[in-house]
Amino acid sequence: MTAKPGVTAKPDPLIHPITRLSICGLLAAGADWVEFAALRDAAGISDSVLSKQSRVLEDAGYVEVRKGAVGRRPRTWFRLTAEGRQAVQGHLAWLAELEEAVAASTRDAPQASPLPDDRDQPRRVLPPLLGST
Amino acid sequence: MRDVARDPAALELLRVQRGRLADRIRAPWWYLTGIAIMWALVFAGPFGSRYLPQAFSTWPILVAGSAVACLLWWGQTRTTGIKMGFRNLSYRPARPAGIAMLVVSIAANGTETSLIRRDLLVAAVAVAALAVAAEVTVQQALLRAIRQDLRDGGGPA
Repeated sequence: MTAKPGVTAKPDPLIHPITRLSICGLLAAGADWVEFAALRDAAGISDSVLSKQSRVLEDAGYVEVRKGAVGRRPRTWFRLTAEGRQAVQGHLAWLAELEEAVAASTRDAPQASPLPDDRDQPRRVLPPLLGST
Repeated sequence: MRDVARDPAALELLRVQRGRLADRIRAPWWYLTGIAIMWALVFAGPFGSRYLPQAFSTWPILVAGSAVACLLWWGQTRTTGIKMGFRNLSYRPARPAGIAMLVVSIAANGTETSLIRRDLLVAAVAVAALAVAAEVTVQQALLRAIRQDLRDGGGPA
């Protein structure tokens, strides 16, 4: 994780891995609680990955987990804690700034122009292709 | 594990994932039917206070409407896997729909009451039916607004 010029927000190393970022980003979307299956499907991850990463986030105090059951089926619900929400917002701000900085540096980079010798390249490449039929 | 800093599409991926989560908030047929029943109970209030005995007029209808609302909330939470909680008018995306709901219910109740007083029963029933249809449409607009808010990730929770 290297700081880019123009990026002031700070990343959170705990939610930097993309799986944890997905989980936290989804929980920060606006729902009060999100159920295990809904979170798993939205994030596109497996049950075991979600279990493992949510435990890491829970241990860090970023995510609150509530377990219950409907009939015999266990149901697990997740939500972000205040601390987790603050960390996610900071991290997303950092990512947005990073994205902006990358986009700006791409815009500012000089457009690659073909070398004089390369201008004939299509003419050199196309005839063999066309003539092969 | 992938590193986000080397993956410029991380935020885009999160947008897609939020879109997937938001798409779970759909109104199935039973939900819209339930919403229609709940509002029908609300708009039955003026008829109840006129044609039913005092003991059966308001409270049983209110209790039945609240019970239907709770059942709908529970069913929606269970099927979508997303618990949204109560959203009042301070929740900006829901504000236009919330205000529309209030305006329709107040206007419809007032109109119904005045029509029933003049013994224009058919007109009062027609107003109630129109109000129920309007409330169902507003509810769909509210769900659309919540979906969009989840997509944008700007919720208050």
